[in-house]
Amino acid sequence: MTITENKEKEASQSEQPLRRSTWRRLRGPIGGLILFVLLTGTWQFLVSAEIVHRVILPPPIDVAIAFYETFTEPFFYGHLWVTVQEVVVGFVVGVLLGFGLGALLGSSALAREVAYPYIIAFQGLPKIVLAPIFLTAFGFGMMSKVVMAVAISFFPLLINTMSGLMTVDAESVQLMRSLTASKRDIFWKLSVKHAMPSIFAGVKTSLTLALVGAIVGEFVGARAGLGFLLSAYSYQLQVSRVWAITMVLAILGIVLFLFIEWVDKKVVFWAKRGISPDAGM
Amino acid sequence: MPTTMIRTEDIGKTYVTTSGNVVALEGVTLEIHQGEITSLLGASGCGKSTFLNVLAGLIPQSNGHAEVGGQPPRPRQQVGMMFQRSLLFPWRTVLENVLLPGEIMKLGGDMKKRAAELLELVGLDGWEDKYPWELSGGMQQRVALARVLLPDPDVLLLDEPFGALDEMTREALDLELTRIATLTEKTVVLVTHSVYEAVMISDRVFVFTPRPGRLAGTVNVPFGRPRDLATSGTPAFAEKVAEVRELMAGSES
Repeated sequence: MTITENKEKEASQSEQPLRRSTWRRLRGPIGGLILFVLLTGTWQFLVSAEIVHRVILPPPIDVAIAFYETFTEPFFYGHLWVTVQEVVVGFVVGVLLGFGLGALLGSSALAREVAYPYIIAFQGLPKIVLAPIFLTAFGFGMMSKVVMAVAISFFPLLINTMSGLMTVDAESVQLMRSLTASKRDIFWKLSVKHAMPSIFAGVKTSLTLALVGAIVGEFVGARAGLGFLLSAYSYQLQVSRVWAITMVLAILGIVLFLFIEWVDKKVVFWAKRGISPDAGM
Repeated sequence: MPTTMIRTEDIGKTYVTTSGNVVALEGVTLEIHQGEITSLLGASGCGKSTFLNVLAGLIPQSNGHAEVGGQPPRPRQQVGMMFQRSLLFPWRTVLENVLLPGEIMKLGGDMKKRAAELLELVGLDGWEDKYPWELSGGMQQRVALARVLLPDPDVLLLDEPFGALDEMTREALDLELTRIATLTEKTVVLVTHSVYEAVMISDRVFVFTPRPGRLAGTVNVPFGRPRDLATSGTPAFAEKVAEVRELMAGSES
Protein backbone atom coordinates (compact mmCIF):
# COMPACT_ATOMS: atom_id res chain seq x y z
CA MET A 1 0.00 0.00 0.00
CA THR A 2 1.44 3.40 -1.00
CA ILE A 3 1.49 6.52 1.10
CA THR A 4 -1.06 8.25 -1.15
CA GLU A 5 -3.49 5.40 -0.75
CA ASN A 6 -3.09 5.59 2.99
CA LYS A 7 -3.75 9.30 3.00
CA GLU A 8 -6.85 8.89 0.90
CA LYS A 9 -8.13 6.25 3.26
CA GLU A 10 -7.55 8.49 6.27
CA ALA A 11 -9.31 11.35 4.57
CA SER A 12 -12.40 9.32 3.76
CA GLN A 13 -12.47 7.92 7.30
CA SER A 14 -12.42 11.34 8.89
CA GLU A 15 -15.01 12.67 6.46
CA GLN A 16 -17.51 9.94 7.18
CA PRO A 17 -18.36 10.89 10.81
CA LEU A 18 -18.39 14.57 9.88
CA ARG A 19 -21.05 14.02 7.23
CA ARG A 20 -23.08 11.92 9.62
CA SER A 21 -23.07 14.55 12.36
CA THR A 22 -24.06 17.29 9.91
CA TRP A 23 -26.97 15.13 8.80
CA ARG A 24 -27.97 14.51 12.44
CA ARG A 25 -28.09 18.23 13.04
CA LEU A 26 -30.01 19.12 9.88
CA ARG A 27 -32.42 16.22 9.50
CA GLY A 28 -34.95 17.74 11.93
CA PRO A 29 -35.24 21.16 10.25
CA ILE A 30 -35.14 19.60 6.74
CA GLY A 31 -37.86 17.11 7.65
CA GLY A 32 -39.92 19.90 9.19
CA LEU A 33 -39.64 21.95 6.02
CA ILE A 34 -40.70 19.01 3.85
CA LEU A 35 -43.69 18.40 6.13
CA PHE A 36 -44.64 22.08 5.89
CA VAL A 37 -44.56 21.95 2.08
CA LEU A 38 -46.63 18.74 2.08
CA LEU A 39 -49.26 20.15 4.45
CA THR A 40 -49.56 23.48 2.62
CA GLY A 41 -49.70 21.60 -0.70
CA THR A 42 -52.50 19.36 0.55
CA TRP A 43 -54.30 22.42 1.87
CA GLN A 44 -54.00 24.21 -1.50
CA PHE A 45 -55.15 21.05 -3.28
CA LEU A 46 -58.24 20.70 -1.06
CA VAL A 47 -59.25 24.28 -1.89
CA SER A 48 -58.37 24.17 -5.63
CA ALA A 49 -60.15 20.87 -6.20
CA GLU A 50 -63.15 22.36 -4.31
CA ILE A 51 -63.23 19.44 -1.91
CA VAL A 52 -63.51 21.98 0.91
CA HIS A 53 -65.35 25.26 0.27
CA ARG A 54 -63.36 28.51 0.38
CA VAL A 55 -65.72 29.91 2.99
CA ILE A 56 -64.59 27.21 5.39
CA LEU A 57 -60.96 26.87 4.36
CA PRO A 58 -59.47 29.75 2.30
CA PRO A 59 -56.28 29.06 0.28
CA PRO A 60 -52.98 29.32 2.18
CA ILE A 61 -51.97 32.57 0.48
CA ASP A 62 -55.19 34.30 1.67
CA VAL A 63 -54.52 33.21 5.24
CA ALA A 64 -50.89 34.35 4.99
CA ILE A 65 -52.04 37.80 3.81
CA ALA A 66 -54.69 37.96 6.56
CA PHE A 67 -52.01 36.94 9.09
CA TYR A 68 -49.77 39.78 7.90
CA GLU A 69 -52.65 42.31 7.87
CA THR A 70 -53.65 41.33 11.38
CA PHE A 71 -50.32 42.57 12.67
CA THR A 72 -50.64 45.88 10.80
CA GLU A 73 -53.89 46.72 12.58
CA PRO A 74 -53.41 48.69 15.80
CA PHE A 75 -56.56 47.35 17.50
CA PHE A 76 -55.17 43.79 17.22
CA TYR A 77 -52.53 44.53 19.84
CA GLY A 78 -55.18 45.67 22.32
CA HIS A 79 -57.00 42.36 21.94
CA LEU A 80 -53.75 40.39 22.15
CA TRP A 81 -52.79 42.21 25.35
CA VAL A 82 -56.17 41.49 26.95
CA THR A 83 -55.88 37.75 26.26
CA VAL A 84 -52.24 37.61 27.39
CA GLN A 85 -53.19 39.26 30.70
CA GLU A 86 -56.11 36.88 31.24
CA VAL A 87 -53.96 33.84 30.50
CA VAL A 88 -50.96 34.91 32.58
CA VAL A 89 -52.95 36.10 35.62
CA GLY A 90 -55.26 33.06 35.44
CA PHE A 91 -52.27 30.75 35.07
CA VAL A 92 -50.29 32.26 37.97
CA VAL A 93 -53.29 32.26 40.33
CA GLY A 94 -54.23 28.75 39.19
CA VAL A 95 -50.71 27.48 39.81
CA LEU A 96 -50.52 29.05 43.28
CA LEU A 97 -53.96 27.73 44.20
CA GLY A 98 -53.19 24.28 42.80
CA PHE A 99 -49.85 24.13 44.61
CA GLY A 100 -51.38 25.30 47.90
CA LEU A 101 -54.24 22.82 47.82
CA GLY A 102 -51.97 20.04 46.53
CA ALA A 103 -49.51 20.73 49.35
CA LEU A 104 -52.30 20.55 51.90
CA LEU A 105 -53.69 17.31 50.49
CA GLY A 106 -50.23 15.83 49.98
CA SER A 107 -49.19 16.41 53.59
CA SER A 108 -52.37 15.58 55.47
CA ALA A 109 -54.13 12.22 55.27
CA LEU A 110 -57.12 13.76 57.03
CA ALA A 111 -57.45 16.50 54.38
CA ARG A 112 -57.25 13.81 51.68
CA GLU A 113 -59.97 11.70 53.27
CA VAL A 114 -62.28 14.69 53.65
CA ALA A 115 -61.67 16.17 50.21
CA TYR A 116 -61.40 13.02 48.11
CA PRO A 117 -65.06 12.78 46.94
CA TYR A 118 -64.98 16.44 45.94
CA ILE A 119 -61.77 15.98 43.99
CA ILE A 120 -63.28 13.09 42.06
CA ALA A 121 -66.44 15.07 41.35
CA PHE A 122 -64.49 18.11 40.19
CA GLN A 123 -62.17 15.98 38.07
CA GLY A 124 -65.12 14.53 36.15
CA LEU A 125 -66.83 17.86 35.62
CA PRO A 126 -66.32 19.47 32.16
CA LYS A 127 -65.24 22.82 33.62
CA ILE A 128 -66.38 24.66 30.50
CA VAL A 129 -69.96 24.48 31.78
CA LEU A 130 -68.90 26.96 34.48
CA ALA A 131 -68.22 29.71 31.90
CA PRO A 132 -71.79 31.09 31.74
CA ILE A 133 -71.96 31.11 35.55
CA PHE A 134 -68.68 33.03 35.80
CA LEU A 135 -69.94 35.46 33.14
CA THR A 136 -73.04 36.17 35.22
CA ALA A 137 -71.04 36.48 38.40
CA PHE A 138 -68.03 38.48 37.18
CA GLY A 139 -69.33 40.31 34.10
CA PHE A 140 -68.10 40.83 30.55
CA GLY A 141 -64.69 42.16 31.58
CA MET A 142 -61.43 40.29 32.13
CA MET A 143 -62.38 39.00 35.57
CA SER A 144 -64.72 36.25 34.36
CA LYS A 145 -62.03 34.98 31.94
CA VAL A 146 -59.35 35.01 34.62
CA VAL A 147 -61.63 33.04 36.92
CA MET A 148 -62.35 30.57 34.12
CA ALA A 149 -58.62 30.19 33.44
CA VAL A 150 -58.00 29.58 37.16
CA ALA A 151 -60.82 27.06 37.46
CA ILE A 152 -59.61 25.02 34.53
CA SER A 153 -55.85 25.25 35.18
CA PHE A 154 -55.43 24.70 38.92
CA PHE A 155 -56.51 21.08 38.89
CA PRO A 156 -53.57 19.32 37.16
CA LEU A 157 -51.24 21.18 39.49
CA LEU A 158 -53.20 20.09 42.54
CA ILE A 159 -53.03 16.44 41.50
CA ASN A 160 -49.35 16.54 40.49
CA THR A 161 -48.26 18.40 43.62
CA MET A 162 -50.17 15.98 45.81
CA SER A 163 -48.85 12.84 44.15
CA GLY A 164 -45.31 14.25 44.00
CA LEU A 165 -45.31 14.97 47.72
CA MET A 166 -46.73 11.56 48.53
CA THR A 167 -43.94 9.64 46.78
CA VAL A 168 -41.20 10.98 49.06
CA ASP A 169 -38.95 8.15 50.17
CA ALA A 170 -39.48 7.17 53.81
CA GLU A 171 -35.78 6.67 54.46
CA SER A 172 -34.95 10.19 53.24
CA VAL A 173 -37.50 11.44 55.77
CA GLN A 174 -35.73 9.37 58.47
CA LEU A 175 -32.43 10.96 57.47
CA MET A 176 -33.98 14.42 57.83
CA ARG A 177 -35.44 13.47 61.21
CA SER A 178 -32.06 12.17 62.39
CA LEU A 179 -30.69 15.62 61.49
CA THR A 180 -33.27 17.17 63.86
CA ALA A 181 -35.30 18.54 60.94
CA SER A 182 -38.69 20.08 61.71
CA LYS A 183 -41.77 19.27 59.61
CA ARG A 184 -41.22 22.56 57.85
CA ASP A 185 -37.59 21.66 57.02
CA ILE A 186 -38.70 18.28 55.70
CA PHE A 187 -41.38 19.91 53.55
CA TRP A 188 -39.24 22.63 51.96
CA LYS A 189 -35.82 20.98 51.87
CA LEU A 190 -36.93 17.48 50.87
CA SER A 191 -40.57 16.95 49.86
CA VAL A 192 -41.11 19.97 47.61
CA LYS A 193 -37.76 19.45 45.88
CA HIS A 194 -38.56 15.80 45.39
CA ALA A 195 -41.98 16.72 43.95
CA MET A 196 -40.58 19.38 41.57
CA PRO A 197 -40.42 17.22 38.41
CA SER A 198 -44.02 16.17 38.97
CA ILE A 199 -45.08 19.73 39.81
CA PHE A 200 -43.53 21.07 36.62
CA ALA A 201 -45.27 18.45 34.52
CA GLY A 202 -48.48 19.84 36.06
CA VAL A 203 -47.40 23.43 35.37
CA LYS A 204 -47.08 22.67 31.65
CA THR A 205 -50.58 21.19 31.48
CA SER A 206 -51.95 24.09 33.52
CA LEU A 207 -50.52 26.62 31.11
CA THR A 208 -52.22 25.08 28.07
CA LEU A 209 -55.48 24.87 30.01
CA ALA A 210 -55.24 28.51 31.15
CA LEU A 211 -55.18 29.52 27.47
CA VAL A 212 -58.21 27.28 26.80
CA GLY A 213 -60.03 28.79 29.80
CA ALA A 214 -59.44 32.39 28.73
CA ILE A 215 -60.56 31.78 25.13
CA VAL A 216 -63.66 29.81 26.18
CA GLY A 217 -64.53 32.66 28.57
CA GLU A 218 -64.22 35.14 25.71
CA PHE A 219 -66.39 33.01 23.45
CA VAL A 220 -69.19 32.96 25.98
CA GLY A 221 -69.23 36.71 26.40
CA ALA A 222 -66.61 39.44 26.12
CA ARG A 223 -65.84 42.89 24.78
CA ALA A 224 -62.19 42.29 23.97
CA GLY A 225 -59.55 39.60 23.52
CA LEU A 226 -58.43 37.24 20.78
CA GLY A 227 -61.36 34.88 21.41
CA PHE A 228 -63.73 37.83 21.04
CA LEU A 229 -61.94 38.96 17.85
CA LEU A 230 -62.08 35.42 16.47
CA SER A 231 -65.83 35.07 16.97
CA ALA A 232 -66.40 38.59 15.56
CA TYR A 233 -64.50 37.69 12.35
CA SER A 234 -66.40 34.46 12.24
CA TYR A 235 -69.79 36.28 12.28
CA GLN A 236 -68.50 38.59 9.54
CA LEU A 237 -67.48 35.55 7.46
CA GLN A 238 -63.91 36.85 7.36
CA VAL A 239 -62.67 33.29 7.37
CA SER A 240 -59.05 34.10 6.46
CA ARG A 241 -58.92 36.36 9.53
CA VAL A 242 -60.36 33.59 11.69
CA TRP A 243 -57.56 31.30 10.59
CA ALA A 244 -54.99 34.03 11.10
CA ILE A 245 -56.13 34.56 14.71
CA THR A 246 -56.06 30.78 15.24
CA MET A 247 -52.42 30.84 14.17
CA VAL A 248 -51.69 33.71 16.54
CA LEU A 249 -53.17 31.65 19.38
CA ALA A 250 -51.05 28.66 18.39
CA ILE A 251 -47.93 30.84 18.42
CA LEU A 252 -48.91 32.34 21.77
CA GLY A 253 -49.27 28.81 23.14
CA ILE A 254 -45.85 27.83 21.80
CA VAL A 255 -44.15 30.93 23.23
CA LEU A 256 -45.63 30.41 26.70
CA PHE A 257 -44.82 26.70 26.59
CA LEU A 258 -41.20 27.30 25.58
CA PHE A 259 -40.85 29.79 28.42
CA ILE A 260 -42.09 27.24 30.96
CA GLU A 261 -39.88 24.56 29.46
CA TRP A 262 -36.89 26.88 29.85
CA VAL A 263 -37.75 27.50 33.51
CA ASP A 264 -38.32 23.76 33.97
CA LYS A 265 -34.81 22.93 32.71
CA LYS A 266 -33.32 25.48 35.12
CA VAL A 267 -35.29 24.34 38.16
CA VAL A 268 -35.45 20.55 37.75
CA PHE A 269 -32.10 20.04 36.10
CA TRP A 270 -31.51 16.79 37.94
CA ALA A 271 -34.70 15.00 36.90
CA LYS A 272 -33.52 14.02 33.42
CA ARG A 273 -30.77 11.98 35.06
CA GLY A 274 -33.31 9.33 35.99
CA ILE A 275 -32.13 9.50 39.58
CA SER A 276 -34.49 10.06 42.47
CA PRO A 277 -33.22 11.58 45.71
CA ASP A 278 -32.88 8.13 47.15
CA ALA A 279 -31.43 6.06 44.34
CA GLY A 280 -27.87 6.91 45.32
CA MET A 281 -26.00 4.18 47.11
CA MET B 1 -12.93 2.84 84.10
CA PRO B 2 -14.02 4.04 80.65
CA THR B 3 -16.96 6.42 80.31
CA THR B 4 -20.24 4.86 79.26
CA MET B 5 -21.66 6.44 76.11
CA ILE B 6 -24.62 4.16 75.43
CA ARG B 7 -26.54 2.18 77.99
CA THR B 8 -29.66 0.11 77.43
CA GLU B 9 -31.70 -1.94 79.83
CA ASP B 10 -34.15 -4.58 78.72
CA ILE B 11 -35.04 -2.77 75.48
CA GLY B 12 -37.94 -4.34 73.60
CA LYS B 13 -39.97 -3.41 70.55
CA THR B 14 -43.34 -4.91 69.66
CA TYR B 15 -45.15 -3.96 66.48
CA VAL B 16 -48.93 -4.09 66.56
CA THR B 17 -50.26 -5.37 63.24
CA THR B 18 -53.71 -6.42 62.03
CA SER B 19 -52.68 -10.08 62.35
CA GLY B 20 -51.45 -9.70 65.91
CA ASN B 21 -48.39 -8.48 67.75
CA VAL B 22 -44.92 -9.03 66.31
CA VAL B 23 -42.03 -8.99 68.74
CA ALA B 24 -39.10 -7.47 66.81
CA LEU B 25 -36.80 -7.07 69.75
CA GLU B 26 -36.68 -8.43 73.29
CA GLY B 27 -34.68 -7.71 76.41
CA VAL B 28 -31.54 -6.09 74.99
CA THR B 29 -29.24 -4.92 77.75
CA LEU B 30 -25.79 -3.59 76.86
CA GLU B 31 -23.24 -0.88 77.48
CA ILE B 32 -20.97 0.82 74.97
CA HIS B 33 -18.02 2.93 76.07
CA GLN B 34 -16.86 6.24 74.73
CA GLY B 35 -14.55 5.81 71.72
CA GLU B 36 -15.47 2.17 71.22
CA ILE B 37 -16.19 0.74 67.79
CA THR B 38 -18.89 -1.90 68.05
CA SER B 39 -20.99 -3.96 65.66
CA LEU B 40 -24.50 -5.28 65.91
CA LEU B 41 -24.28 -8.52 63.95
CA GLY B 42 -27.01 -10.90 62.92
CA ALA B 43 -29.18 -12.33 60.16
CA SER B 44 -32.07 -10.30 58.81
CA GLY B 45 -35.03 -10.12 61.18
CA CYS B 46 -32.87 -10.17 64.29
CA GLY B 47 -33.91 -6.65 65.26
CA LYS B 48 -30.47 -5.08 64.95
CA SER B 49 -31.71 -2.23 62.74
CA THR B 50 -34.71 -1.72 65.00
CA PHE B 51 -32.35 -1.45 67.96
CA LEU B 52 -30.20 1.11 66.12
CA ASN B 53 -33.29 3.16 65.25
CA VAL B 54 -34.29 3.15 68.90
CA LEU B 55 -30.82 4.47 69.83
CA ALA B 56 -31.19 7.17 67.16
CA GLY B 57 -34.53 8.18 68.64
CA LEU B 58 -36.24 7.56 65.31
CA ILE B 59 -38.60 4.93 66.72
CA PRO B 60 -39.71 4.64 70.33
CA GLN B 61 -39.03 1.42 72.25
CA SER B 62 -42.03 -0.50 73.58
CA ASN B 63 -40.33 -1.21 76.87
CA GLY B 64 -37.04 -0.85 78.67
CA HIS B 65 -34.74 2.09 79.18
CA ALA B 66 -32.05 3.59 76.94
CA GLU B 67 -29.52 6.38 77.33
CA VAL B 68 -27.23 7.86 74.68
CA GLY B 69 -24.68 10.32 76.02
CA GLY B 70 -26.57 10.40 79.32
CA GLN B 71 -29.91 11.33 77.75
CA PRO B 72 -32.94 9.41 76.47
CA PRO B 73 -32.61 8.82 72.71
CA ARG B 74 -33.78 11.59 70.43
CA PRO B 75 -32.40 13.12 67.23
CA ARG B 76 -29.73 15.65 68.18
CA GLN B 77 -26.42 17.07 67.13
CA GLN B 78 -24.36 14.66 69.26
CA VAL B 79 -25.75 11.61 67.45
CA GLY B 80 -25.21 11.03 63.73
CA MET B 81 -26.91 8.37 61.64
CA MET B 82 -25.87 6.81 58.34
CA PHE B 83 -28.05 4.57 56.17
CA GLN B 84 -27.49 1.79 53.66
CA ARG B 85 -28.29 4.18 50.85
CA SER B 86 -26.36 7.43 50.70
CA LEU B 87 -29.61 9.42 50.52
CA LEU B 88 -27.81 12.31 48.85
CA PHE B 89 -30.16 14.85 47.33
CA PRO B 90 -29.64 15.05 43.54
CA TRP B 91 -30.56 18.76 43.47
CA ARG B 92 -27.62 19.55 45.73
CA THR B 93 -23.94 19.46 44.84
CA VAL B 94 -21.57 17.31 46.89
CA LEU B 95 -20.64 20.33 49.03
CA GLU B 96 -24.29 21.38 49.50
CA ASN B 97 -25.17 17.83 50.56
CA VAL B 98 -22.44 17.86 53.19
CA LEU B 99 -23.68 21.25 54.42
CA LEU B 100 -27.28 20.02 54.90
CA PRO B 101 -26.97 19.15 58.64
CA GLY B 102 -25.45 22.58 59.29
CA GLU B 103 -28.44 24.30 57.66
CA ILE B 104 -30.97 22.25 59.58
CA MET B 105 -29.22 22.51 62.94
CA LYS B 106 -28.40 26.17 62.23
CA LEU B 107 -24.78 25.60 63.18
CA GLY B 108 -22.55 28.64 63.45
CA GLY B 109 -18.93 28.92 62.39
CA ASP B 110 -17.35 28.43 59.00
CA MET B 111 -19.29 25.37 57.90
CA LYS B 112 -18.03 25.64 54.31
CA LYS B 113 -14.45 25.38 55.48
CA ARG B 114 -15.32 22.45 57.74
CA ALA B 115 -17.21 20.70 54.92
CA ALA B 116 -14.22 21.13 52.61
CA GLU B 117 -11.92 19.68 55.28
CA LEU B 118 -14.24 16.70 55.77
CA LEU B 119 -14.37 16.07 52.03
CA GLU B 120 -10.60 16.02 52.06
CA LEU B 121 -10.69 13.62 55.03
CA VAL B 122 -12.85 11.16 53.06
CA GLY B 123 -10.67 11.59 49.98
CA LEU B 124 -12.99 13.69 47.87
CA ASP B 125 -11.30 17.08 47.67
CA GLY B 126 -11.90 18.58 44.27
CA TRP B 127 -15.36 17.00 43.97
CA GLU B 128 -17.25 19.74 45.84
CA ASP B 129 -19.18 21.06 42.85
CA LYS B 130 -20.13 17.72 41.31
CA TYR B 131 -23.62 16.31 41.61
CA PRO B 132 -24.30 12.93 43.28
CA TRP B 133 -25.18 11.25 39.99
CA GLU B 134 -21.66 11.97 38.75
CA LEU B 135 -20.17 9.84 41.55
CA SER B 136 -19.76 6.09 41.98
CA GLY B 137 -21.64 4.28 44.76
CA GLY B 138 -18.56 4.17 46.99
CA MET B 139 -17.90 7.88 46.50
CA GLN B 140 -21.52 8.68 47.32
CA GLN B 141 -21.16 6.87 50.64
CA ARG B 142 -17.98 8.84 51.31
CA VAL B 143 -20.01 12.02 50.84
CA ALA B 144 -22.65 10.63 53.23
CA LEU B 145 -19.84 9.97 55.74
CA ALA B 146 -18.62 13.56 55.42
CA ARG B 147 -22.22 14.76 55.87
CA VAL B 148 -22.75 12.77 59.08
CA LEU B 149 -19.45 14.11 60.45
CA LEU B 150 -20.24 17.78 59.78
CA PRO B 151 -21.99 18.49 63.13
CA ASP B 152 -19.12 16.64 64.88
CA PRO B 153 -21.32 14.09 66.68
CA ASP B 154 -19.96 11.99 69.56
CA VAL B 155 -21.83 8.89 68.44
CA LEU B 156 -22.10 7.42 64.93
CA LEU B 157 -24.98 5.02 64.33
CA LEU B 158 -24.39 3.24 61.03
CA ASP B 159 -27.06 1.06 59.47
CA GLU B 160 -25.17 -1.17 57.01
CA PRO B 161 -23.67 1.91 55.36
CA PHE B 162 -21.52 -0.07 52.92
CA GLY B 163 -23.83 -3.07 52.57
CA ALA B 164 -24.84 -2.26 49.01
CA LEU B 165 -21.29 -1.78 47.74
CA ASP B 166 -19.02 -4.34 46.12
CA GLU B 167 -16.71 -6.22 48.48
CA MET B 168 -13.49 -4.43 47.60
CA THR B 169 -15.02 -0.98 47.97
CA ARG B 170 -16.58 -2.05 51.25
CA GLU B 171 -13.29 -3.30 52.68
CA ALA B 172 -11.58 -0.07 51.72
CA LEU B 173 -14.34 2.03 53.27
CA ASP B 174 -14.38 -0.09 56.44
CA LEU B 175 -10.70 0.65 56.98
CA GLU B 176 -11.29 4.29 56.16
CA LEU B 177 -14.12 4.41 58.67
CA THR B 178 -12.00 2.95 61.48
CA ARG B 179 -9.21 5.38 60.63
CA ILE B 180 -11.55 8.38 60.75
CA ALA B 181 -13.39 7.17 63.86
CA THR B 182 -10.08 6.68 65.68
CA LEU B 183 -8.80 10.06 64.53
CA THR B 184 -11.95 11.93 65.57
CA GLU B 185 -12.56 9.81 68.71
CA LYS B 186 -16.08 8.74 67.79
CA THR B 187 -18.16 6.07 69.44
CA VAL B 188 -19.36 3.84 66.62
CA VAL B 189 -22.25 1.38 66.43
CA LEU B 190 -22.33 -0.43 63.09
CA VAL B 191 -25.14 -2.72 62.00
CA THR B 192 -23.97 -5.48 59.66
CA HIS B 193 -24.75 -9.03 58.59
CA SER B 194 -21.16 -9.73 57.61
CA VAL B 195 -19.16 -11.64 60.25
CA TYR B 196 -15.96 -10.64 58.51
CA GLU B 197 -16.85 -6.94 58.49
CA ALA B 198 -17.88 -7.03 62.15
CA VAL B 199 -14.63 -8.66 63.31
CA MET B 200 -12.54 -6.52 61.00
CA ILE B 201 -13.58 -3.15 62.39
CA SER B 202 -14.92 -3.72 65.90
CA ASP B 203 -13.52 -3.65 69.40
CA ARG B 204 -16.60 -5.61 70.41
CA VAL B 205 -19.22 -7.53 68.43
CA PHE B 206 -22.77 -7.85 69.73
CA VAL B 207 -24.32 -10.96 68.21
CA PHE B 208 -28.10 -10.85 67.67
CA THR B 209 -30.37 -13.78 66.85
CA PRO B 210 -33.80 -13.66 65.23
CA ARG B 211 -37.40 -14.51 66.17
CA PRO B 212 -37.65 -12.71 68.45
CA GLY B 213 -34.64 -10.45 68.03
CA ARG B 214 -32.41 -10.68 71.06
CA LEU B 215 -28.78 -10.29 72.09
CA ALA B 216 -27.14 -13.74 72.07
CA GLY B 217 -23.74 -12.67 73.32
CA THR B 218 -20.72 -10.43 73.01
CA VAL B 219 -17.31 -11.16 71.49
CA ASN B 220 -14.30 -9.02 72.36
CA VAL B 221 -11.90 -8.37 69.48
CA PRO B 222 -8.70 -7.28 71.21
CA PHE B 223 -6.73 -6.28 68.09
CA GLY B 224 -5.36 -2.76 68.19
CA ARG B 225 -6.03 -0.02 65.72
CA PRO B 226 -5.23 0.86 63.02
CA ARG B 227 -5.92 -2.42 61.30
CA ASP B 228 -5.19 -3.31 57.72
CA LEU B 229 -5.98 -6.11 55.34
CA ALA B 230 -3.06 -8.13 56.76
CA THR B 231 -4.93 -8.32 60.09
CA SER B 232 -7.57 -10.46 58.44
CA GLY B 233 -4.95 -13.04 57.41
CA THR B 234 -3.78 -13.85 60.94
CA PRO B 235 -4.80 -17.03 62.81
CA ALA B 236 -6.12 -14.87 65.67
CA PHE B 237 -8.53 -13.22 63.25
CA ALA B 238 -9.77 -16.60 62.01
CA GLU B 239 -10.30 -17.69 65.61
CA LYS B 240 -12.44 -14.64 66.33
CA VAL B 241 -14.52 -15.23 63.21
CA ALA B 242 -15.06 -18.83 64.33
CA GLU B 243 -16.02 -17.69 67.83
CA VAL B 244 -18.62 -15.28 66.45
CA ARG B 245 -20.03 -17.90 64.06
CA GLU B 246 -20.37 -20.40 66.89
CA LEU B 247 -22.28 -17.87 68.95
CA MET B 248 -24.61 -17.20 65.99
CA ALA B 249 -25.18 -20.90 65.32
CA GLY B 250 -25.36 -22.01 68.95
CA SER B 251 -28.28 -19.81 69.82
CA GLU B 252 -30.19 -20.54 66.63
CA SER B 253 -31.67 -23.84 67.80
